[in-house]
Amino acid sequence: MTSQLTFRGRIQEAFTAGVPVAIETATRSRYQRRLAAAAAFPEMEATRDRARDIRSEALRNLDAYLGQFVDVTTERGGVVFFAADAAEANEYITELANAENVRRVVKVKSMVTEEIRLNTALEHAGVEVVETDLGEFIVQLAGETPSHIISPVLHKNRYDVAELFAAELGVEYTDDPAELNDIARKHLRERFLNADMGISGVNFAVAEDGAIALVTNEGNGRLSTTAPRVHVAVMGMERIVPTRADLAVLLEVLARSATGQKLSVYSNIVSGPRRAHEPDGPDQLHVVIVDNGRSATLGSSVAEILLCIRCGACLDACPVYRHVGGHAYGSVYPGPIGKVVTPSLFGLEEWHDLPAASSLCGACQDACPVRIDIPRLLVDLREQTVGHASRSIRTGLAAYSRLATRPRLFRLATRAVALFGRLWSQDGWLRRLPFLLPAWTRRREVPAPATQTFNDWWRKRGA
Amino acid sequence: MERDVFLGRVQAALRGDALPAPAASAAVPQVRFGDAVARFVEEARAVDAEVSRVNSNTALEAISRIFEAAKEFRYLAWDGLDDVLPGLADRLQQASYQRVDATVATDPEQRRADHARIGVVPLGITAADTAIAASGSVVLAHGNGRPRSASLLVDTHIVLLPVGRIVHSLADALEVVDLESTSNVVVVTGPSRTSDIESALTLGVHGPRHVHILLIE
Amino acid sequence: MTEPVQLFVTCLVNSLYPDVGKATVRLVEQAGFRAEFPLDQTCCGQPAYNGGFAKEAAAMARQTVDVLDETEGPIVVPSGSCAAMLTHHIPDLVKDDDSYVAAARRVANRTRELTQFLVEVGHKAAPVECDERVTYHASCHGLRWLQILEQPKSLLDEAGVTRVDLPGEDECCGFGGLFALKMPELSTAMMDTKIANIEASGADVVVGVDVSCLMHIGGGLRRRAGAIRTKHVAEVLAGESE
Repeated sequence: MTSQLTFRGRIQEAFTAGVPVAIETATRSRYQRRLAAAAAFPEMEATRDRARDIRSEALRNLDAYLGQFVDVTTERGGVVFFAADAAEANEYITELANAENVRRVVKVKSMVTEEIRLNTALEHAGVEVVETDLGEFIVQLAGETPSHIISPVLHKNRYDVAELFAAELGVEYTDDPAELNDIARKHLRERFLNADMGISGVNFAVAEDGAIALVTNEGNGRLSTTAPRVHVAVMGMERIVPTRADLAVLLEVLARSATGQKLSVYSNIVSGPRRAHEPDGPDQLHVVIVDNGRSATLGSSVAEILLCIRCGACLDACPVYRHVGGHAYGSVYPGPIGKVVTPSLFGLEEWHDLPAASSLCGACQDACPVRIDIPRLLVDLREQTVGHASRSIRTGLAAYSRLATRPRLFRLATRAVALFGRLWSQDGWLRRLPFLLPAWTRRREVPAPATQTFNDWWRKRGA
Repeated sequence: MERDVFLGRVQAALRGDALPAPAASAAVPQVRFGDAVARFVEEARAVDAEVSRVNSNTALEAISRIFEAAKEFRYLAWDGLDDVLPGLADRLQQASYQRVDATVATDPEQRRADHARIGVVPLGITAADTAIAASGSVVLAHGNGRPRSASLLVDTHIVLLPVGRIVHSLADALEVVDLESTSNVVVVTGPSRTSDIESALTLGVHGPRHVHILLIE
Repeated sequence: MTEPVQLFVTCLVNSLYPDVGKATVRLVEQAGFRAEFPLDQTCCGQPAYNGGFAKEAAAMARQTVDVLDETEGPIVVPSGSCAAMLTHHIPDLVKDDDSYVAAARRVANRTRELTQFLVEVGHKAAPVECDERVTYHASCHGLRWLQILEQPKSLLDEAGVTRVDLPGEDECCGFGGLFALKMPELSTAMMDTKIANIEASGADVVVGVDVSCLMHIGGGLRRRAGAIRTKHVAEVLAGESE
């Protein structure tokens, strides 16, 4: 996974092209809806505390819970494969598809399958892959990538979708969302019923039940895991929760945080393939448990990021995301969470500029249902990549630190700056600073230094 | 990768003790409503489910009205609905409504044929194992004689819900679910919906457009 | 004998906005305390900390702790972000340095942002002459690390200032320390949104608890040639200096 440009380069491109207004309005309205939902739920804060503890308990004993999950799933007839990385996961799934003569796969939107680029691998193997989440289907038709964890087509408006459907599906042009929905429903229904394999992610895997929970509002999660003969569930290894009671807490927290709903429309709990006398459901269930950099993260200073339940709340809360949209992040994981997940999974050296792209305003941590301290994790990653800072910033800060640890010298230096203030200042502002800080002054003026520091004023005050 | 090697890497990573310690939070307080039934009705309606409060006589009439309104005679259904609503099977048979067998074969060709047959049926009838007052949800445990398609492939999903089966919370509902003998349990909260296109709410994306809950007193 | 209060005025106030420091002195005295100013204070290290320069940040943090720990009484800071640095980030920065852990904790426990302090001690804001409409921008670190939102607003209201609501008051202005220099396009795009909201509020003056954000917003406002100005909340509450 490589990015051609730096984050700064991509946002400059995005600003030039124009960031769709829809991103700002949609994120802002969902953010407000979520706040209202939380306000109407008196136990929200206690529930968040509990959710955080559940996630951290699960991770602190991840080896044991994973083992338990696998044992019970296997007992119930599921087949488990452990994938060290993307290549192993993709190889297992494409070989399974070949062995089962799979011609068509229906897919439920899932971050981990985007991460490992499963679609590309399957298509290389000659398998047709159909994304079934309405937004993800639109993204796939357009040959794009999703721009938001839970709303993949946040960057498109109805007219974009109308033109796309008319061109790609050969239907009559309509820009009515309900009619566009009907077109997609009809088109996809036929594909669900004639697919050989359904591939989903996993929202939560319950250790004690060997069960996986899969949440959707549209119903594509249920269809993809019911109609095809073979169900493949791909899960990041950190998706575990210990018990069914824990699952109840997290399903509620996920729905409230993702969309402000009390529960998503379908909380689908799958426990093995269909039993002998069940009338429908898949005959095979394969669970692919993916590491792909997670064990390295688990042992690192940003391990806390693995608590994430992929609700997307931090994206909607983030002023940076609102201004640049998801594509500017250059990764399948956008937004605040992406600034930590992307470097920790795909390499900090290559993605060192993502942690820098934050004002550390803390809106993400505030919104996070499991209270991940994203600002602290960003600062941690900045510490690890401090060598990438520009020479002027590095020498400037080093010099400032030397001054600030020597109070007498600091006083002299600030007094010298105050002298300049006397020379330069006319109305208290400077339009530009020669040689210095063009990044600041291109769009902002700089206050002139005061002619007397507070420190000197205090001394003269004769306290 | 071998299981032991995979889990060994996890164990090695955990030795670094890099995760935040649990804060020993209190258990989430149990949700308890004074009138769970009223709450259920209110919440279910808020998520666009239709709820009719009926008794065993008016339930049969309500179902007939739904069939008539849909101008349909084919339906999918679970076995054993007569236990919940005595006389249902007879009533449907008298009206010449036709229950379509929802069994799907393992063989790929036969499976496609089964799907072609089942996928066009617009009405489905199930009975909720429990229902959740806090969210207006119904819980369906699939299994022997209980096809998933009856609540999934149809346009209108009719759910029979004896009033005594309403519990307060999701936690209460999951506590009594049996995941050993069934491969699938689903908690359904209203009809299928999306807001993917310009955040415009649209019902009936892939699942049923109408969820009609018959609350049997 | 009145109780002492230690002022930690911050490096920006010291060099760029001494009037904010003077106003802080007046407010602390109006509240019935004796203002003291430890002369050897410099910078809390926040710019370095936020930028990932942990070594430099820790050095400045230790200097700050050294100076403040030998004093007595509440430490009052006319800045939400520098106060949050003292209460949250400095203890975190020195957590592996046994010789500083306890001192940093003591300093953190004594530290209050100015409006937080005034409300905690039950200070009633004196009426001020102000015929301009003000609006309050909630700076992020004060808001999210110290829950500062209602304190400045209630003090402004008590002082009889005409206050109008700011749409998106809790949204970041895009300053973010080094972020403003490393990502100038993004930083100023966020500033543009903030300024549009300020303009929509109908205010003449935008008030905050952090001069850093106000410097950034004010610098942008200056380029627009509009009449809207920025003021620190202390300057408004303390009225005109004598």
